[in-house]
Amino acid sequence: MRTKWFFVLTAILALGLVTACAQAPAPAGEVVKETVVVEKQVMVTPTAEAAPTEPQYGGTLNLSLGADFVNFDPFYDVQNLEFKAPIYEAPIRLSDEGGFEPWLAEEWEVLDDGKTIRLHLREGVMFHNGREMTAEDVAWSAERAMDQEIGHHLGDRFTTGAGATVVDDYTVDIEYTEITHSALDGIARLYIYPQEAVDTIETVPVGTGPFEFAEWVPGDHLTLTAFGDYWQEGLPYLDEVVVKPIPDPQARMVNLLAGSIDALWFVPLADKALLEEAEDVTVDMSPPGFHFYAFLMNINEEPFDSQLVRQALNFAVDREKINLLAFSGEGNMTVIPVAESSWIYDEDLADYYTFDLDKAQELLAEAGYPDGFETSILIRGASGLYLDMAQVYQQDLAKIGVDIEILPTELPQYWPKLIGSEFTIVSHGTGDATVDPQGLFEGAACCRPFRNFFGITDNDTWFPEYKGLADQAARSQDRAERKELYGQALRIMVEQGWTIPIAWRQQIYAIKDHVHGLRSDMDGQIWLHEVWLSQ
Amino acid sequence: MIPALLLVSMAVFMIIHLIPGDPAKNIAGPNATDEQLAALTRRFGLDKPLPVQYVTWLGNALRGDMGYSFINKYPVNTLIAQRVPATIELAFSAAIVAVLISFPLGILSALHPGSIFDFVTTLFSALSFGVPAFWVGIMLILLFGLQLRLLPPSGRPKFGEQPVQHLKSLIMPACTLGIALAAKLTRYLRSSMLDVLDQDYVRTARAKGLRERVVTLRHVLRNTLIPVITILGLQTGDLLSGAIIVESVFAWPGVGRLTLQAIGWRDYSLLQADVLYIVLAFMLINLLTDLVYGLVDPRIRYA
Repeated sequence: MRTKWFFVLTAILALGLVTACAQAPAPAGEVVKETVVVEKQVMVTPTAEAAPTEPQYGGTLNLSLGADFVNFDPFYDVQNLEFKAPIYEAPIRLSDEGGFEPWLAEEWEVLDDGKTIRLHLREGVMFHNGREMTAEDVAWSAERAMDQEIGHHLGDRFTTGAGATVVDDYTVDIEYTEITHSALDGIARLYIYPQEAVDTIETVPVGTGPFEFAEWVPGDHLTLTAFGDYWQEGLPYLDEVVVKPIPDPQARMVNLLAGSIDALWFVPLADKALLEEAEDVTVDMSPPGFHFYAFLMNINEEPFDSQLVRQALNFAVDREKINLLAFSGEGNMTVIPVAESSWIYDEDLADYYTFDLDKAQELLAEAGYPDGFETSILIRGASGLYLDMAQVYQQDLAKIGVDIEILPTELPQYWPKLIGSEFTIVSHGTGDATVDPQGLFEGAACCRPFRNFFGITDNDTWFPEYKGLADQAARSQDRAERKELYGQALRIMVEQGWTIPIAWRQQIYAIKDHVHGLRSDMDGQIWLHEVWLSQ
Repeated sequence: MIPALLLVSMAVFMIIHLIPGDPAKNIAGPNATDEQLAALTRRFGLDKPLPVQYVTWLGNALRGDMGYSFINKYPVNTLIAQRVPATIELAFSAAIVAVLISFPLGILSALHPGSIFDFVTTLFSALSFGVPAFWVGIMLILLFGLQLRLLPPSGRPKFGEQPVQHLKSLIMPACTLGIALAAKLTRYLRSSMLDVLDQDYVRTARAKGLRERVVTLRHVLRNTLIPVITILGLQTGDLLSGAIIVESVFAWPGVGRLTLQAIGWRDYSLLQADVLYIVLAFMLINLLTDLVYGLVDPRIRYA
């Protein structure tokens, strides 16, 4: 009898649960809530129109970059390198026009010796530790950046750096063996912090930025508070910024829609359209021009030592299909690694390679591979865009007899393989990451002084000419001449075809409509000093 | 236990260093110069022979110094200690959820095999067992976090500052993990109980005129618990080692995500300590499980 009661009670409980679940989406109370939602929708437009147009003070901005921070030393681009500007600042910064503008330095000049950049620093810029920033700090930071022994990421931007000298408290000379056009790119990333903080900077950031470090609970959140002594009077508007690591992209999106975060970065392309449909969310992306997705070839490996084969593989790329299948139709495709906004953009080269399998087949036959060949493609990561791009490419290559094995590679294994040129083709994200085209021609797209992934050497007959043009353009101060020289070098790059640009790599971010004044520059750096909340 | 830990530490050290990947190249990035790579390799102590690295690490570990993280020089012990409370909290909450779900379901379906209730329970077990945790997590977030706005979709506020929010934030991850564990426990409990229900001593107990509740709870359930406790112990050990997917979906700052991060960056010092502590936790849980056996079945205690 008692067992029966036990069973009946349990059944009632289970029924109750089922009923509760069945009612959950639309209980009586919720119907009223739905009405409220409708009212809100009506209210939204006038509210939006009546929303304060003048910046409001106060509030907390919650945002997510996906991954957690691992190292706050601005000299290391380890993780979340886009989030330096809220804490650290450099003497100059990238402008929206594609140049540089004064920041911690009020002005800069190249001295007559042609080897020194003199920075005139602002007075009254305070570090978060309460000390004023002086020329000593900038000189120390610059010398640290030039020190190749430390093993940080700024080193490759100061390869011609020779030292730094303090002229007076607010003037500092950055000396070079040779000033290149990308020297200012280095200074724009020379984030200044006080020397006394060097031992703890990796976990406790101290800079001159609008927000100062309050708390970091690894894996949970980073909290920054408004820096009261910030040098820009009246800024920042926000009281607090909280950065939450939410690794799962879907969970990140739901958090934005649910309102537990106000902004998120690294929106997957597939989710862009979905977020655009949300009423109170604006989706935006950083401008193209710095980074691009590409297939890169190792020209030391047969058959990629043949220019004809490389060209054939360029003609076998169907960017339209890749855009549709890998980029969800949202890609900003490109044939050359130069954006339309660049002063060295060449319209003639922009369509140099069109999707033409017959032409590709013809070139392969001419190169001695009428039946194609077998090869492999190294993938940056085990999933995602790099893999999707390669899978689409694989299908088209198969049509011209090129059997390509796809090798997804998790990042810790990927970097050593890339750096060691242990690949034939690689599906990679690359770019010059400099305002001046010099970086493109010396760096990611080719060779010296940085690491040469592509196996290009002086033995490649075209290389001396290419390098000569790039070097000459780097030394010239005449923009028209430089444009001409870079134009020729770009033509060689495109004709040689060791890099197959696919699409611009732009950072997509989504923000709630009550967040104003957010800026993401060409380098993807996030600027929060002018951000304010209208609710 | 100590020799086992020593052996494990050696195996872990060797295996971690055998995994392809180089922390220096990983952290330095593609544009690093040879000098930068060499500097990082020296900084991490990876320029020394492997046996020397192991002996140095072991010597420090025996003094309780597990070293510093390669990527941020944070003391490894501190990094792990920061995550352990969240992991323990999640693991035990999930275990409680699992017990609360599985015991009534398992017992009742064993008592009424072939009934509709039994069928529904079996269906629940099969579905919960088969559905991936990340899907359950996302569905819960969509329902309770986005549609109903009853629970926070992610994060773990400090208990001291926001106790209610803290407990609310625990519900969805604990349920996500707990439901999967409940599915396993329900099946084990049901089949174990069915075996025990066929035993002679159960028939004897009923023949003695004992009430069904007493038969079920004292004679059947108690004898069913041994395999169930074994499973619960092993699974809780698993939960402690890191419910990585659930932690990622709910942005739960546990050991699982830390381990994943350490693997991703080839942060050897963090990974070594992490794995070693996880092994230690497994051993302790097993020990605890053995002790619980004695409580449930006195014959084991006396043996």
